[in-house]
Amino acid sequence: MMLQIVATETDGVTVLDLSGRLVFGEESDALRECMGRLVAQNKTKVLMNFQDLTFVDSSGIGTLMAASSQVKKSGGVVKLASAVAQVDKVLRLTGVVNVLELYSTKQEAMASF
Amino acid sequence: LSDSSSTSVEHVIDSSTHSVRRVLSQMEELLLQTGTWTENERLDIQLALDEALANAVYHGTLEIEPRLRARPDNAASEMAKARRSQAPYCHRRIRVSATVSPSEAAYEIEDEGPGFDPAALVQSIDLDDLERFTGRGILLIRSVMDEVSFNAKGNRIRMVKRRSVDERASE
Repeated sequence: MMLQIVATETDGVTVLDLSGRLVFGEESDALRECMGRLVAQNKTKVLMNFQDLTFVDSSGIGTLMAASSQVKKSGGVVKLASAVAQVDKVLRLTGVVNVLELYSTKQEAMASF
Repeated sequence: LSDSSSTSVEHVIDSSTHSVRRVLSQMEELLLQTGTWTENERLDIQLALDEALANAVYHGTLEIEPRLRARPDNAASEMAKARRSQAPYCHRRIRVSATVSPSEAAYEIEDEGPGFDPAALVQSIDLDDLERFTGRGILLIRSVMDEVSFNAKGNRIRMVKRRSVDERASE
């Protein structure tokens, strides 16, 4: 399954609902392009909801961190929520959770902005 | 399958995303057939196979340089797309072999690229450099598999996962 990204805006926060797999290739390109558009539109409070993201690999992590860095340079922030078991494990093994805030639910993450 | 019995399979595939996904799916099916591997263990193996196959496709077969993958544009995936139909890249194949028993799963993945120096790999993940695209996949493989080794040329990886005592005790 390819990566699908649905963007909505709530209380000044852009919520990206990701579903499918975040891996090298078209999937990573899609996230990179989406984040580039958000930064260009000065939408720099971003919550990535991983509830339906089933798989991430090291390339996906690289893309996620590059996108987050891009947003940070524009004075914004990226937060994460609702990682399923495989995604949660890779976020922890790679140390991403030490750099980006990860919340158990979308609601908790929204309340933190 | 009894604990001592095992099933071995071998696939030779091209570097297309379709072929990689199909072989990943077949490997998952092989684990499910044994009836003993837990979801967590299967996810670990799936991650290791995904990373090893990504290396075989992008670094080995298509020779995409890591620094290209780190660029903030789609240059790496565009090059991958182009090279899949160019010689010599399009003629190269990837061999994936697996031997799976109820207690151990062993995999070998070999590409026909120039190989790399396994000794030059980074040994830990740098939190200040999480955007880097080199070596992190191998570190992930090492963290979820019990044995990881390379041949001298660096174009073949062998990975072994054993069922943990804890997982067995909880059954």
